[in-house]
Amino acid sequence: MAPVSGVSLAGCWVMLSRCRGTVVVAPRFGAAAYSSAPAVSGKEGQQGEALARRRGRTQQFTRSHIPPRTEKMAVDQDWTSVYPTAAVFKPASVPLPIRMGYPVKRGVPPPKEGNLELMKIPNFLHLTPPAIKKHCEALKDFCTEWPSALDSDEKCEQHFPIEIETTDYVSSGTSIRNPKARVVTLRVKLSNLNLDDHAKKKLVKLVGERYCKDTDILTITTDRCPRRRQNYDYGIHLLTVLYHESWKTEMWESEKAEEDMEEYIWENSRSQKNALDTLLRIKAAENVSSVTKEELLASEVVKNYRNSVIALKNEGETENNVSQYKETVKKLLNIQASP
Amino acid sequence: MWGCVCPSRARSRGCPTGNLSSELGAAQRVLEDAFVRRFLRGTFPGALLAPPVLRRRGRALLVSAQVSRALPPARLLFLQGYSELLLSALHSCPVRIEITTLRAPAVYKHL
Repeated sequence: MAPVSGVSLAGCWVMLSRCRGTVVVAPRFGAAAYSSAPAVSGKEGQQGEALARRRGRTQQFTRSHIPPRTEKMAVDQDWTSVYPTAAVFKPASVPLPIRMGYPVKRGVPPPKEGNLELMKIPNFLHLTPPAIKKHCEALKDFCTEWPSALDSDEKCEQHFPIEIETTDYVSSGTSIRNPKARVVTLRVKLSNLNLDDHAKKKLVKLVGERYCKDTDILTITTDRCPRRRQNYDYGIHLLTVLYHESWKTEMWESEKAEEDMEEYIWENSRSQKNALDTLLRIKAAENVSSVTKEELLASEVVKNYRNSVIALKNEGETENNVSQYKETVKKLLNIQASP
Repeated sequence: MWGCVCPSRARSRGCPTGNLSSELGAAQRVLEDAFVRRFLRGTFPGALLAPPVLRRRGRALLVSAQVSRALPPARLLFLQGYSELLLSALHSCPVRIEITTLRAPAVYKHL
């Protein structure tokens, strides 16, 4: 291979090829110019003039223009070697008649030669399906199989109930650090934790807004430590502490009042007292043998009334609930339907 | 670079594209781009046919410049290498310059 010469020799033009280092030297007199090596791309064709010296002509140098590489491209060529990596759009290397830009009035968009718009936009000429296939083949050596035992979402959740979410940030700067990358989010379903009724209620009260009732997911987001690992450890520590604390019963928890209850409990409530009082008075007025409270409570009508009141209070007022309440009250007080 | 797409007007003026809205160091990137443009305008005196297109791919800065064929290829390549080396050293990030030569600037419209 001829050595690369960067110097313009006296009387000789030299064409440089950046990639391969071949040199085409066209002597001043006589002999024909050597054709350039096939590694020359159209870019070089535009860039450096090949001094193809016409035979027997004058001593002037004619700058003949090498045709762009697109004219020599076969239809079934290996495109992945034309654009192996992400590169700028080279009009002499892409054999497509592309026009881009705002069309001149009563004209067409400008052609691809020297088209700045085509150079500005990102192109995906390096990501054709054959190229992606090649990438996948190369990556296969570094991949391991997905464990066959985890073939459904439920199994994944059963074996790995805690989900950790972290974010990495990429930027165009010279630094890879980003303070937003330290945030860690922990998600766990409370049904996967071993909690009894009291523990679950206490846990939900402790975490407050971090628990979503519809999805039964507890979300803990930590970002108070400077490093991601520290935040992760802190999140796990929080989860552990919450779990253990919710199983303990403190002394002051016995002072839980009716306002603190999460859901409505009918037993020992005002509604129960009023119902029982009313029924007892009705029975007394009718001079029926006194029935005990337990019998009243166990009776069908009182049970239905209880259910309807609980439904009203816990689920809110829907058509169904209110009509059900009406029915049970009518049955309780033995009111006949008005004709 | 993740990004919002710049309006086409900014592009036609050759303004830097890429996500600059709320990233750290966005101001530094703008300054670097402005410096690179000035530097190229001076290094290829009169030969730069269009504002150079600057892009960032990760950490690297890619410059696509359209240059006229007035300069002999040896000089052109030397200037390209010199600019790349100097700019990379100044900005501490890899700077790659791609040059396409044209006989004349691509004319959009004759008035």
